Amino acid sequence: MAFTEMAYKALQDIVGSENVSNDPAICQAYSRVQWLPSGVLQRERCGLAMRPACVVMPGSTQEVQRILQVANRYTFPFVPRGSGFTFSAFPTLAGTIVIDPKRMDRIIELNEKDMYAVIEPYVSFVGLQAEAMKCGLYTPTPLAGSQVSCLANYSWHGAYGNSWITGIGAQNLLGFELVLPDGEVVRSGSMACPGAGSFWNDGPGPDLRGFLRSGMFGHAGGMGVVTKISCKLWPYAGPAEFPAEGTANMKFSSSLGENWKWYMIKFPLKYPEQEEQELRKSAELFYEMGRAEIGEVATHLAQQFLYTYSSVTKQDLFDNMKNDVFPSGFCVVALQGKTSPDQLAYEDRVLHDIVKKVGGIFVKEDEPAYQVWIKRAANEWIRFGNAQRLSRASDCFSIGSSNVDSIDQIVYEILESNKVGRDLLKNEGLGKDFVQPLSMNGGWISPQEYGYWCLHTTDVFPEQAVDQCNQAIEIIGKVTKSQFERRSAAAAIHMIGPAYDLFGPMMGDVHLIVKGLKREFDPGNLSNPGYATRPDVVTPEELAKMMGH
Amino acid sequence: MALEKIEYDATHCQRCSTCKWSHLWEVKSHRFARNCPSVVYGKFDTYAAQGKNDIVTGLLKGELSWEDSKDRLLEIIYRCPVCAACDVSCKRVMDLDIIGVLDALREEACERGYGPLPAHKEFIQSIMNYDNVWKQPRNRRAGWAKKLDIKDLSKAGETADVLYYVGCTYAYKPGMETVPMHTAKILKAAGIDFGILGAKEICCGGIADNVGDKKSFEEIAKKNLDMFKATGAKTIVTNCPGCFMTFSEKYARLQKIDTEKLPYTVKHSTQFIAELLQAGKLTFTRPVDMTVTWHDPCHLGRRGEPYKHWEGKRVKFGLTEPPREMNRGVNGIYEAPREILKAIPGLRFVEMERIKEYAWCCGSGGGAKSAYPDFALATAKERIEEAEATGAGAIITSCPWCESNLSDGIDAGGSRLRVGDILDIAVQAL
Repeated sequence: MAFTEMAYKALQDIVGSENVSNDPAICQAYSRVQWLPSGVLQRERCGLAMRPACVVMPGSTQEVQRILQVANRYTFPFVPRGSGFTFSAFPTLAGTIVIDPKRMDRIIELNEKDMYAVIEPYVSFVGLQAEAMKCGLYTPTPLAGSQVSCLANYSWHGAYGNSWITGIGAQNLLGFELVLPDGEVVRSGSMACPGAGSFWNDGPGPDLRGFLRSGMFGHAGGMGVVTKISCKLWPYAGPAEFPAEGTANMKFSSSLGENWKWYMIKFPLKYPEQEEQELRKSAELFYEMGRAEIGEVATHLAQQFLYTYSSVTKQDLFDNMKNDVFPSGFCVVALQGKTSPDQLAYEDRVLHDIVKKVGGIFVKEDEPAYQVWIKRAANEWIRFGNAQRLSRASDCFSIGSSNVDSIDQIVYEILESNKVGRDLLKNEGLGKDFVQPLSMNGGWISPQEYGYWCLHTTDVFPEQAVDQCNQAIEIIGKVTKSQFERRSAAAAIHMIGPAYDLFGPMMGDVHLIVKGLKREFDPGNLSNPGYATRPDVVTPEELAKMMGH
Repeated sequence: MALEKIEYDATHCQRCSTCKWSHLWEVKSHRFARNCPSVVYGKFDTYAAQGKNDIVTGLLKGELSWEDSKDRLLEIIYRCPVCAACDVSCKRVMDLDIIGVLDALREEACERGYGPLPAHKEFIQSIMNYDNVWKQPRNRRAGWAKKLDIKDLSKAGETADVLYYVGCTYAYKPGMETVPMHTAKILKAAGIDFGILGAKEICCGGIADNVGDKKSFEEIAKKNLDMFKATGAKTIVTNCPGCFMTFSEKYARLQKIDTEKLPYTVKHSTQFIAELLQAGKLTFTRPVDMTVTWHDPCHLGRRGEPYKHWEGKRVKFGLTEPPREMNRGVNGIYEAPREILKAIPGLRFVEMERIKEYAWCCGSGGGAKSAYPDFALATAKERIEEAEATGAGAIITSCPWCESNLSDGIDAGGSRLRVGDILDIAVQAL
């Protein structure tokens, strides 16, 4: 069966006719995503099949349940989404409906004492952050930018620039309410126990977090609709109102008050010749900081971050690259005296000792790198995240390589991945003119939880052209293949979609468990079928076959 | 044709949703975090700038046609005040001409004969017939100036340093004539040599351009430009942000020149009066015992920025050749009205959460009030709620359209807030 007029009328009955539309003009706005090369190719292959048959906006968990029951009754696929930034939020098959959660935007609870918030799907990070900071709390911010759905980001993965202490978003998920593909509701963590409070993910109550994800990432609506989450909040000793000067995109924020202090640390080593020493020195710094258990933010910024985050315009970005404003990566550290001013003073002394020990140099306030990063982007990273600015370079970008492992291993991975990437560029001409100089030089080292583990990414910046995007994906594929040949843990990140079958055997056949779960809970493959089975590029015919149509 | 001009901008939207939120640095609460009246009211993404980019992409790629959904397309295009909040937010991360996209959609609708909407046509027809948007006789235009002894610069031989251009709504709308009367009183108090065009003043034509009727706009603009030339006016002062933006930005765009290359300088009355205060030519002495908040009119702020003309093309990576300095809405008139309010003794001035280039629109602009009054009203009510949260007793602005729509919002919501024009307050302090 497919989406029918009767099904549409049933949806109207559930949410009211003003909250559902099958008008082609309305649905057109839910039909494409092209900031990712895979999105560009997906659009190219799927065409109008990416336009949903209708868009429906439920206002409650009960309405979501009923929508999913109707989907099962009439056998049409549905795609749940948050704010709709990423490519998994789009249909790949004609007759799919999109569930837009705009009417579910309440902060249901903000618990100062137990430091958590219970929120609905359309609560953005920026709204939650503003309210949390009034209570002396904060949430780490996504690189996708704080305009995105907090719930979707936490359920999916959530890589953050300020996660030295907090870890990624998924680790801050304390509980959730999920409407399964058949319409049944389950709750995880202490949220599952009425009256217990939504403060803890291990219980009382079942811990179902594993249900939401396979490898590193969640399944983006492939297992139903998350209608509520509880997320952890962290102590924040900065001002409730974000201190900003300047106008619009020429904004500066010098300080988060006397309880915060920023540092930019460099090693006098230039890329690409001394890339390895620079990265290894940075790793040493993070290990020492982890041992001392100091710091609120600690990260190594890749060149692409430095250039794209700090640029005011596209032209500015290219001028800065031309002038080699950031000759290498930099480490950025923030200390927060969240218990007392003495804590800040103590950590400051320790940091100075560590930097001296590892041979680092504190970037001076009057240096361009400090002015550009600390004044313009650092505080912004605490409150808002900002990586959608990465697209400024070419209006399209993709992660080029990524991995999770120990800091040392991550440095090794960056070096090896860059080597493969440079070889592709030099010997095969892949990515010529659009990969360098932002990519394949250094990388983003993002240590998590006091350096207990680490995340990295490098990026590629093709234009929104099919040929360039094809090349970008070929580069990513070859770099990833080399990671697996090195028995890298990158599989943990790539355990999604088509990579299931490729990398699952390397990960104890976990892909078979994921597929088994999907079959058990969604036998009709109705819940975001294009994503959970094939995320990148999928033809409507392939999908129809998978769904038994 | 119109859409082709902005193809790159529309098709390269990364649909990150930044356009739907106030500048992230400036968000102060979950309640007042959003910036786009269209998508807040219409809810579907389609009503946001992101959705309009998708519509353009669909139309250009042949995936969507006007015939598929003409009425809904017109609603998507016109149920928007073109307030440019989306444009300001977007440019924080990208270099796309979002206002260009919204304008092009309207122009396209008109080129195809589908736009403007009947309510807009009424305004434009009124301008053609009566030289004003309110279907009023020309000889009543300067009725407010009777007995005020003001020079009429349309008469041969009359000259003045400043041409005071009143605008249709202040000239005709009952109850609003106090604004030009008070303006005149303040200008006189400061010793300014000024004059008006009397019954010869004609509509600026901004509304025609706003709704995409470029042909009518050109016709009206030409008449005004000729009139300005004839009077030899070098400085034009106006109260209406719509007229201000039209003379400053639209007339420059029409002539393909920068605003600063126009043969005249146009100043909004708040800008002019703030300069008089700064120069010591005007002083407020009487206390005004009120607590007020200020509503930034979009046409004075985000859209009041001087125009920078650019002709060129997108090249590799989307760079522009020659480099294009885009308008970002940050150089509009934001400080002048605040300086005036702060200069009034006894007046307590409090800010709302969304201000200046991040201000929430009243909902009236771009022809939205006339074509979609329910939308305009809902948008105004949101602003009133935000104003009430400040504890102010009055919301002050300097735009007849904002004032009127906010007033409707107050009535509809049963608010005890008052609405008023800044010059009605300022004149009390003389």
